[in-house]
Amino acid sequence: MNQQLSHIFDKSACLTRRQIKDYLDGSMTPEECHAVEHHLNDCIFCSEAVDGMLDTRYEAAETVAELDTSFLNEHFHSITPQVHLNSLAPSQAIAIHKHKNKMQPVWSTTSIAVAVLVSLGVVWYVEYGKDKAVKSKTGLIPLVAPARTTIVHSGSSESNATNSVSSTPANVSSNINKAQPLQSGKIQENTSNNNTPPSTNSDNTNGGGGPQRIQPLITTGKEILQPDTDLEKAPVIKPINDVKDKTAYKNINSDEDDDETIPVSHAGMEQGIKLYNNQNYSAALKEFRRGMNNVDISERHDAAIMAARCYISLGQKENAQKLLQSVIDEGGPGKRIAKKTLRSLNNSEE
Amino acid sequence: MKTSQQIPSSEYRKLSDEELIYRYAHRNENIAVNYLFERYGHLVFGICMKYINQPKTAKRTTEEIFIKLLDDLKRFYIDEFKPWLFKMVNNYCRMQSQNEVTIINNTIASTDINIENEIEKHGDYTPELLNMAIKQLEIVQRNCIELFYIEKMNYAAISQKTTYTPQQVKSLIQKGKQNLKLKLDSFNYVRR
Repeated sequence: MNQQLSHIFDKSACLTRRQIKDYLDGSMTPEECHAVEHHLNDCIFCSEAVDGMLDTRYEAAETVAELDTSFLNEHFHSITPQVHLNSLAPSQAIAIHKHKNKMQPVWSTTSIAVAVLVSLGVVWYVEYGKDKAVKSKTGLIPLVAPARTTIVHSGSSESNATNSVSSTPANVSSNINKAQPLQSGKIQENTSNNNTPPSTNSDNTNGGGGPQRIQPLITTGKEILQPDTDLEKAPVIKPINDVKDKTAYKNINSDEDDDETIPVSHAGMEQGIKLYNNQNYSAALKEFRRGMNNVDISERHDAAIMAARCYISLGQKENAQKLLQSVIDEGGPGKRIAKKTLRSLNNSEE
Repeated sequence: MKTSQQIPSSEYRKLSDEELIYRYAHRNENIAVNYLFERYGHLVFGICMKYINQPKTAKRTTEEIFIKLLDDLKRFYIDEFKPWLFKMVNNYCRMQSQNEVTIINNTIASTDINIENEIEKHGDYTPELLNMAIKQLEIVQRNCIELFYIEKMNYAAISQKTTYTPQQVKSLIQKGKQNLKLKLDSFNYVRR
């Protein structure tokens, strides 16, 4: 008895799958069954496992027989080598990905953008570049020169009303008897002379002591002109293409003197600008009117625009408007500046 | 991938649990886990059956536990695999069955689980001490222990001989063994 009890705490190996299956099936001999139960008394792991399977012993026995390691093998094959299969990583072929040329779309996009920018630049140059060139030729001249404030001793209110400008910079003095068309020398600077009565004061029809208006009409060719209103009347510029020769330009500005019909050179334009900057608008106007006969359309327009500015400065806005409008109608490089000048002129009137 | 230290498949059965774990965790010998499953898969299934009571679901849970084991074996240092696995399986099944389990430092606060270690820590006892201890047990426990260990009767035979069911017999024997061990330990303590 004592020797038998000495094995009461002996440890034995855990039950195998077959032992459990046979134990659950009841296919064990009493001795085998006793050996299994002997282990069950020692091992709580096996004891609880057998207890769990006793209720559904036959189904459990079948399931125990079906247990295999296939799920482990599947798991080892499915998981990534970095997690559990580091040793297998080198054996796998390294996938070489052919990278597409990613520069291709970048280049195409860039080239399209450059093409668009270049085309925009060309359009901008065609539209505005020429106008800018004209502006650079004429210099940064203020659009409307400050009008000279001149005290005019008006002999009659009518003269003021007709002129409608009290600050007319130039006072026309001409001899009625001579009844000459306006000469270049006859437009005088009023800074020194406007206060002095004209020498032909007694011959004036007005009879006043102030600046005189030349009343008699002067006929030059087909047109009837007033000698002192040649500044007021704006010459209409016609495109040089419409004119066959320079003599035709004489007819356009037929009210002008012969020297005004002679096209002015570039130096003449510069002289006009200089005069304009010195606020000698009448003399500058003469230069610019000569320039309006130039063959080159851009120079002609420059001269016309400058002449219009002279008109503005002289207070003859209507003439300036006509001149500018003719430039606009003709079109070309000076159109934009003419428009701008005309717009500012209209705004100033309002 | 076979390494130079890899042993033939038949030799794995002779290795201890800890050796198999070492080979899997440190040598990447995945086949070692197959032998761990061969040893404990059906036992894990039995415990899953205890909680789930459906063979198919219990089988699936068993597979999930072993998949989880693949990571845990590399993450944790496991001194004794069998008690650790027993705790882990119980913990997993209780979590699955939505039972609240107090988990502190990856161990389960449960009293019945510690029996495993206590039983394994038994020492050598003399026959005289055993006789003295058995005589001090309750009559029912003493009868069952004597019938089982001396008469070598199985649970069914004891059940037929007594009025107890096989489960009661099993329980009486296990409780008798626990009391016997406690008494033997107290005798050894008095002797010292």
